[in-house]
Amino acid sequence: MEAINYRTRIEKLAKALREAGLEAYVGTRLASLHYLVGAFIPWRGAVVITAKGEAELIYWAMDSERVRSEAPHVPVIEWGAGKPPFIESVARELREKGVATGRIGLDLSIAGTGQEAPGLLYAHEFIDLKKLLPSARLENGTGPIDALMLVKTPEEVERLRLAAKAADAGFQAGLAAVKPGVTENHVAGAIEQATRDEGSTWAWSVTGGTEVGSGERTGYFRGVTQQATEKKIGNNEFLILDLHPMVELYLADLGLPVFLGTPSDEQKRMIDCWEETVAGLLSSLKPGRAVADICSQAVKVFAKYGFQNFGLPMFGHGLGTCARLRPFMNTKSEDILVAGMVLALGTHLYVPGAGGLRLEYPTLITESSAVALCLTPPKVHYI
Amino acid sequence: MNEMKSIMEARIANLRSKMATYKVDVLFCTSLRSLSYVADIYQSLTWYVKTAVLVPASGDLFLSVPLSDKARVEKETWLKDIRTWNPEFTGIAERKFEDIITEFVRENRLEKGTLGIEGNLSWPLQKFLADSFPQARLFTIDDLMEECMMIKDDHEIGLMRKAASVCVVGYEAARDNVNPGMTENELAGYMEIAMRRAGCTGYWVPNQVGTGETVLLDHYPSDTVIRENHYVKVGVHGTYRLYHGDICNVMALRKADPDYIRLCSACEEASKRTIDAMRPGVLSCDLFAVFYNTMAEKGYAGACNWYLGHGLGTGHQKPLISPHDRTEIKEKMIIILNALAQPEGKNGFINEVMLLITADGPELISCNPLGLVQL
Repeated sequence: MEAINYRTRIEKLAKALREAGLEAYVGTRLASLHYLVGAFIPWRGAVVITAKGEAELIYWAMDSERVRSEAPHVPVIEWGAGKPPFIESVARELREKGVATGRIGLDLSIAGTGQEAPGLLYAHEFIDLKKLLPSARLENGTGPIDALMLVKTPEEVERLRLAAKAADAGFQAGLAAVKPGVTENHVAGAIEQATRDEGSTWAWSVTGGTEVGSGERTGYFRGVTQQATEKKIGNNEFLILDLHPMVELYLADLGLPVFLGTPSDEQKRMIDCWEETVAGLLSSLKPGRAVADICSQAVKVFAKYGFQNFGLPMFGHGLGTCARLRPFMNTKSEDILVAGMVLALGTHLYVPGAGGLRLEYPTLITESSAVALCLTPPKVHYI
Repeated sequence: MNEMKSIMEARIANLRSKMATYKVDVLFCTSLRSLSYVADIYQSLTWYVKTAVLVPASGDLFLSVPLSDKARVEKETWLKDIRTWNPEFTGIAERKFEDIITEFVRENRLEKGTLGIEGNLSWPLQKFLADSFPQARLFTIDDLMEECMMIKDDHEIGLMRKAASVCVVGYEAARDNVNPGMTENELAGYMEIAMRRAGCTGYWVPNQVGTGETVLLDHYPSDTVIRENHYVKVGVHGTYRLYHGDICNVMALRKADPDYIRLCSACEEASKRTIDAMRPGVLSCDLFAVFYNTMAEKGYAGACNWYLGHGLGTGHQKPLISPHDRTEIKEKMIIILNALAQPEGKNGFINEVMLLITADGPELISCNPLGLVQL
């Protein structure tokens, strides 16, 4: 596997900070920590990057030894276990780097979605930091780093492909485990074991892990969460398998519908609508196209089938070291597709009483079109 | 459902009693652990979507969720009043989470009241509350919530027993399947499929598998291959219906070094003495002292300066077994004893078991071993 040059990333971010007039960036989101540090960071931590290109990780003492061994290019400052608390440590590092009176970018909020990203700075942390650095101008600083993470390098695409491969294996194992009478949890277990065998180190946390929904649980009105439960799977019903493996800190997000048995006429119409929407989306992904236009077209397909009130006007999100990343695929987006972007392309159609279909599909924008990173076809899978 | 309603009403009465003590007019519950505790709902990480339960000092509670979660949450929660927010959908105008909260504060004339907020609130949301209600007092309720959540009701104790048993299934799967030549990830897969088949509904923090000639206290599974001369540490974090389990064991594939066996035996003895001391009325810092002093007596002073355990339920909670926590141990607490020792420059040892505090003393609710597992 091609090594990632983290020093280059840090220097690029430092340049972007200088251009934005920021003296430092303090990243607490999983996205930034994994992108800049290159080690798994499950506990509270902050990566501090200055406009001069200095870098440091402030991390929980109990897990610091592992991170040092995995990410030797970034010095680790410990907090807790007898060392100063987290925010005090962040403030001290900013002071020592001589940036405590300047503009400092923080992970406060992300734009373009109603959702929030894991790891954003908490209010009490912000207030404590402000008290410790009264002369600093603290502001949201997600812009420069998010722009940097938007277009993937070949090394990143290689890792995203590995994550997608793990997702393929998980989906096939899940499909093989589905039969009437087994529980959603049973299927989730089969998926998780298969993704582990393909090198997945974590089912990422944003959705709480592996989702398996069946029958009426797939058809919640505009529903987007199906945590696996002890519900038994029945005949003639939809299932949603939604997998989230992580390989080498890069994520896959593969969600696909399964039908066990024979669909009713209404369910067939839903399937036709969903598959036409998915096909339309995939064929319209090209560099230079506006995300909003692509999404508006997809909404029209829902309307053509009379499902405009049941299809969600949200068609995915960016994918990388997190899944709360640009481009957010919705009709309000201002993003234009660029070669090298990677999306979890989405299509959500949920009809109460009849069931639901979900697509989450890792897709790379190429120089001329788009290619799937998974081998599993984006269609309904019948058993 | 009626039984659940009465359980939850008792919880709310307890919370309201604490609200009176702390002089808080409304609880604005946003953390994952509080949403589970108060509303009995699953939520993906609450920093991901804006979800809140508002508990006024009197009157009806309400739950605010994204519209896209309403149908699911309705089936899970005992609360009747669910108000939704949404971006603009076809045929539905945008409705903001912030507007729902504002309406509630105004409807209940709480503009000058004390609004209880949790530590996971984002800065934009806290600023919104402060700017919208400049005469209100924002008060952090993390301690208030912990005081209630630390003591489990019988329903919770049943769920914690099941969470413990699910985790033990995971540990036993690791013990029975570990073999030189497999990767850490593969071993984690064995643990997870076994737990799922035992009813596990997910993992509250990542499961751990660490392998090597030394034992790291924290270690996450990778594609590192397990060798014949390795120690293998497994940390198991299964959840059962919103309640969390937490156990950990170190297994030796090799014949352990005498020095290491001495360390593990010291830890095991310190764990036993600490467990014996876990009785109502004891302070959690005193439990730390029992462990620490035993280790010192065995020649390992200074090898366990970190905290040695915590409460658990719908989330990580007090009491912390640390020199700084003076929480009194009480009946119906669930405590994770996180026995660990890391002598400087030497191999470390870690072990976690789950305990229920009863009137007569501690009861181990996880049946994983306390000491080194020699395979």
